[in-house]
Amino acid sequence: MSSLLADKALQKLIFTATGQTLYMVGLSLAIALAVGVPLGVLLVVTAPGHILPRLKLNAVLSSIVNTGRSIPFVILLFLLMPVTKLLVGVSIGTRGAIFPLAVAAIPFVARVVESSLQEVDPGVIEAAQSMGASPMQIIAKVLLPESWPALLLGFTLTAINLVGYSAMAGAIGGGGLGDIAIRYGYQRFRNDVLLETVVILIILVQITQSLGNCLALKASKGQRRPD
Amino acid sequence: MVEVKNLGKEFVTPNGKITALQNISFAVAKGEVFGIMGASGAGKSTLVRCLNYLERPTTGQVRIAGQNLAELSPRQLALVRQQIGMIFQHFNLLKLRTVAQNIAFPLEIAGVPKEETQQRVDELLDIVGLTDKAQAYPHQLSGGQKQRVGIARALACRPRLLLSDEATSALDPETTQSILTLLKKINRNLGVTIILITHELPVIRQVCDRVGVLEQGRLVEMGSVTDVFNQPHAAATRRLITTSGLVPPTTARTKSAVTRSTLAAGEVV
Ligand SMILES: Nc1ncnc2c1ncn2[C@@H]1O[C@H](COP(=O)(O)OP(=O)(O)O)[C@@H](O)[C@H]1O
Ligand SMILES: [Mg+2]
Repeated sequence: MSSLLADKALQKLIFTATGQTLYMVGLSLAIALAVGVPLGVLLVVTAPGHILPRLKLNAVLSSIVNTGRSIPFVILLFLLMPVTKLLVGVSIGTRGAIFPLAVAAIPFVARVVESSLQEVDPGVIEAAQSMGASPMQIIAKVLLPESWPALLLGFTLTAINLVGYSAMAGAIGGGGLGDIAIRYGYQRFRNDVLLETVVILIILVQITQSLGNCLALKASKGQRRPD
Repeated sequence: MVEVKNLGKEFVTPNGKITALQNISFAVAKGEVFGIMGASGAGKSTLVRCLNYLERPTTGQVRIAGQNLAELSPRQLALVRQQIGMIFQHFNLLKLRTVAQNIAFPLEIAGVPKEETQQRVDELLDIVGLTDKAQAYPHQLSGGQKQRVGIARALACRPRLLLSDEATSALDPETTQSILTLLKKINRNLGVTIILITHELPVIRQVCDRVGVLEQGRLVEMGSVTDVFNQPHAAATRRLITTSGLVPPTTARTKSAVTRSTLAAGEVV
């Protein structure tokens, strides 16, 4: 069995793959937030009894989000291949994985935003309305800021899910740590490589979670529970 | 200042229509402290929410400073609301903003420049006696202090009218006193008209000039606080007075006097 440390070329591959994973997760998270946050906000404010009730729109958005969430990621990967190819030119590789990852995360982010914003005290919304706040002002100055700690925790969870999904994307040629684990670890019986990628993934998840917890705690301004 | 005419409000629920308010008419003069009392579920909150159109009345009119709220565009309504302060039973403060930032909130909404806001917030902190708590967060305050923040926030845009929905109902008696004193001071010194809604009769008797009695969505009695408490006409008023343990002050001395007053009140209806 060859020594892991001596295997310089392989170490370099793992290093690159870690970078690819971070790149896939980072970019897909950014896209998912850009689409998912407004979608989640719309889900909340268009609900009956909220600040901009639009019952039909709400029902349509809600069923789109539910559909998105019910498709398993592996199936979504294949389903989206033609669209990915059209959009980014390739349907595999690190770049090809970003689009399906983002699409998978959008409904998740939307639900995270929805459940966080629903926790905002209706009394506070009413107080803002009594001051003449417009719906946009209520979204920007009440709903989002007041649920910021909960949102941070939800986004952390999204990022962690994306690390897992990115490994799955890697398995079908998406690059990143999942790709290395499959091609070198599994197919070439390099248990040490398999183990190393898993350890790196665990560390990535731990760092993300700790960072998220820390930011959420700070954002909760010393309240007993960072809800 | 405030004119309410034939106001009615129905809620449509899956279980049918609920008539929360029916044919309510009253007027409140500038500088007055007007109370509305009634048992829980009588429609008090619904009524106060109709006064700034947080709830749109089903029928009737609300006029604030002569303006019929029904005729206003959303933008105009927002401007009118900025001129009406509102305080709440559960304070409804933004929990992730400091006291100073909470008080600055309505000014932000109204688009007041930063420097002016800062100055106004300092004035308001002084008025409610919370200068030393400017940087505290709501969860670090007592109930009374939270309500002071609520009051400062309600006064931020220099309203001419203040609506209070059970503002002291979550507070202990001593804190209630200090908040009532503050409201009285605001009414006297700043000339703010106050409409105060509560199920606590002592609060009404202590700070209001006139009072209306709400029962099952109807205004069953209205008059000066002295008259209504001493010679209640409506059965609902008498019930409220009896259950709250209050006895008309003129008859409090002897037992026979109490009996007489009860009889006298009984004859009227
Ligand atoms: N949004 C609403 N939808 C349906 N019914 C309501 C709503 N708001 C109030 N009601 C009903 O109207 C009546 C008066 O309620 P409310 O104004 O809160 O009374 P109070 O403040 O005097 O306790 C109650 O029967 C209540 O159930
Ligand atoms: Mg009420």
